[in-house]
Amino acid sequence: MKTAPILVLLPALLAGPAEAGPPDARRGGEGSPLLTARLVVVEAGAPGPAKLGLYVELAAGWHLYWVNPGDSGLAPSVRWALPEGAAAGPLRHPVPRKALREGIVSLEHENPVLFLCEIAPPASGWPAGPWKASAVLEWMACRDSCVTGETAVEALVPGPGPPSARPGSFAEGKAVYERFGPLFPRPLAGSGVTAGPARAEWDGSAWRVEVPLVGERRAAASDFFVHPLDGFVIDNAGVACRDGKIVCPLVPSRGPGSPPPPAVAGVLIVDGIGYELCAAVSKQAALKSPAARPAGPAGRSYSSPGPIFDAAWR
Amino acid sequence: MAFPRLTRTVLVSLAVLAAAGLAAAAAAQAPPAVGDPAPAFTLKCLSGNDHALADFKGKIVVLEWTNPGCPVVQRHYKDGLMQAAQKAAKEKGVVWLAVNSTNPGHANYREPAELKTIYADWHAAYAVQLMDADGTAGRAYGAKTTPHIFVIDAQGRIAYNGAIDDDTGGRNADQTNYALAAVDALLAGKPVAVSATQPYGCSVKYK
Repeated sequence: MKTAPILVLLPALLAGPAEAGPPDARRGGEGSPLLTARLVVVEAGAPGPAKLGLYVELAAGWHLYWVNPGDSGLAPSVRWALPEGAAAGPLRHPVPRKALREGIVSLEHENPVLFLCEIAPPASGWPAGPWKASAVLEWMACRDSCVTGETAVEALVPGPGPPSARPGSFAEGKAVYERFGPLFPRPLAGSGVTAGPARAEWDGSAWRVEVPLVGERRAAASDFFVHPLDGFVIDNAGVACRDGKIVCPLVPSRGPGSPPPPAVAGVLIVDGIGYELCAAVSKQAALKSPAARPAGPAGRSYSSPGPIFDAAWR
Repeated sequence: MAFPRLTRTVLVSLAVLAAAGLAAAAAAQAPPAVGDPAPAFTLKCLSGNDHALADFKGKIVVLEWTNPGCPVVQRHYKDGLMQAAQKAAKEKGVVWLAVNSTNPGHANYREPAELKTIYADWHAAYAVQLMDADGTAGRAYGAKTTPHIFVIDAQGRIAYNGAIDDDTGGRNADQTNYALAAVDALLAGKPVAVSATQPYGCSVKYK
């Protein structure tokens, strides 16, 4: 049963930086807090997963970071306290904006921002009545300087029952989700673009993964934001989407002997709208990899050229 | 405004040449990859003395980009993690250099005398802290965050480029210190297993 979106039930219990940069960076100006957060109940769930949102407001000029923050920064994370057996999924981010400051790429969220998280119910199901969800948001916010902090929030999530029995304002909750829901990445199928066979090429120090785009809207694809990849450093300044293809330079953490990643995922921007794109590299392609660099007398490492190969989408 | 064909051709050619020049310049300034020679530098320490990378020829060198106004740097020092790594490296005969590329116009900039006090209060154990206020050394290495670590082997090549550790939130009791792991591998004559990671922290406050 899908429940109607409902609102933020309890305000933040605690909001403030746990660590601080310069004293003048602790607050957003005019005495207002730099960051405030509320826990929003988007879908109460029962009997299925609940969908909660962290609605964050930032002082003017400050930003938070996307799941791949870019060249610097830290993505926010959450510590949850939920009914026993309930499990929180990953924090879902809206589409970020890309900023370039002094040669450093930043993938960030401006004020205000909504993060979403799906909460799976315990095996025994949700409690019969309302249950409490608590979260501690760990964040790093930056403007000219940066501040890190923690903000604790909680909400009472209604159990099964008619909407009239639930606390909170349905109208405000609906408004929050209706306003911010469209900012989340959508399925690629609706973009008018599909991904063609991928190609990975070793350029001497990084895998250069090229993803050709096909479809009537390919020319409208303007950018690609890469999700973090275990075992690789993303060369964010080199990531591009133009001429109908995505280019992702990826430096392997374990050196040139490493195969390319099994998949590349991220958000493709088409006509200003974000779409989820995930492209897998075939296992056959991964069999060819550049020769491992030899270790010199003191473990010295060397770059070595590697082959070019074609990779197929799964 | 319409240009005659010849003028247009010349303008387009100039634009192409300019773009090519910028691309070439960018390529020429591309930061070194792991395995490449470490860019040379000569910088003044907090006492005003010159220190060149070449002074440490034949030694393993760790470069730590730092900014005491960055909360991530603060955490690593307040938790004692950075000092512990510096001391461990020093005991192994490694030269640990902190580099500060914060530009003087930024709120995080601190004069050398103040930096001395801050890092002394933190019991920092680096060999010296070097001032790179114009960001020349930082840009040459491609330093992006504070902290950002580069380990240079005894032959003067970059052996590691990335984060100080794998604990971005400071809550992992079983963290891996990538800088020390690289140092240990180099001292053992083994390849550095993890030679590149995504650094995390505040952006370097370049001019």
